[in-house]
Amino acid sequence: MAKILVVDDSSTVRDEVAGFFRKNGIDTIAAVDGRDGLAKLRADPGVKLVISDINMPDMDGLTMVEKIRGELRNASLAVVMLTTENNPQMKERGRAAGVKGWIVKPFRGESVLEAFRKIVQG
Amino acid sequence: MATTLLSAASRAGLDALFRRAAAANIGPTPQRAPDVVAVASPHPPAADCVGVLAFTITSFRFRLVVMLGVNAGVLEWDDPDAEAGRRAAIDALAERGNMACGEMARDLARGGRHVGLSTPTWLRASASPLLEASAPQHLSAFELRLDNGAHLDAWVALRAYAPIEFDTLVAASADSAGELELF
Repeated sequence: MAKILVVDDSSTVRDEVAGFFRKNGIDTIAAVDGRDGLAKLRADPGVKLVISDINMPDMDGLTMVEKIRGELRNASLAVVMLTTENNPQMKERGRAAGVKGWIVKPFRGESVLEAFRKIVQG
Repeated sequence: MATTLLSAASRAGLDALFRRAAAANIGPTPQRAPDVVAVASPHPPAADCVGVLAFTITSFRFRLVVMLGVNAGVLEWDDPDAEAGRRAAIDALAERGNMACGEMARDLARGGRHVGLSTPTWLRASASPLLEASAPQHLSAFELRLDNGAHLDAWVALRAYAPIEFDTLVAASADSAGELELF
């Protein structure tokens, strides 16, 4: 079964997003920053979609995506950024790293569910 | 002759951006938006202030610091004796402040400015007077009055490194927050 990884340094966002997916019957795990996210991905190959913040204290979300493609050699894992950032340079960096979608916070359940349906379920 | 880096109109524009972002994001729900009331500056932290959340928005031309003074009455959680509940309440407030400053950063980035936003930092209550000591070109203070009778204090301080205009940014933004953009 497809699983989602939620990466955000805010426990409020992690709880809100993960709680929403679980209520919709989707298995979800969480990580507190990019470094933790990479560790969770190494440990759990069942993750099919990553929903990640960008600005986090230890490792930011875009660096994590670049490491997913580089260090983890995973070119197919879908990633959607959920962030307060909306500047074109960051989006371009995301596109270059293979980010599939971008949502400017606040979190709206229907938007991330739409991302899951379009990206994971096709 | 000294150059004016920040006009009166820009100061007013900056405060208007903060008012809009705070009203839209700081309340516990969108339906419970706070009243954002300007107060005289300098404005000391409240006696029951338990700490300050600090956010920094930077560009090549300016550094903007927003501080939210978290007063005890603002923190609502189920068990007043549970430290985990207190931390979760502060985290929730930090995220609301992050969304407010994110909206300000997006407004300030219009026109092609490269703008960066820090992660929230939790500081002691005594940190807020340091804003005045840093001699910013602009310092304003606000009370964010919530519908439960509690309020947060807020300070907005800007240090400009070059002439800059903010007054043209106040017009309603075309913010697409919450919508999925597929690449």
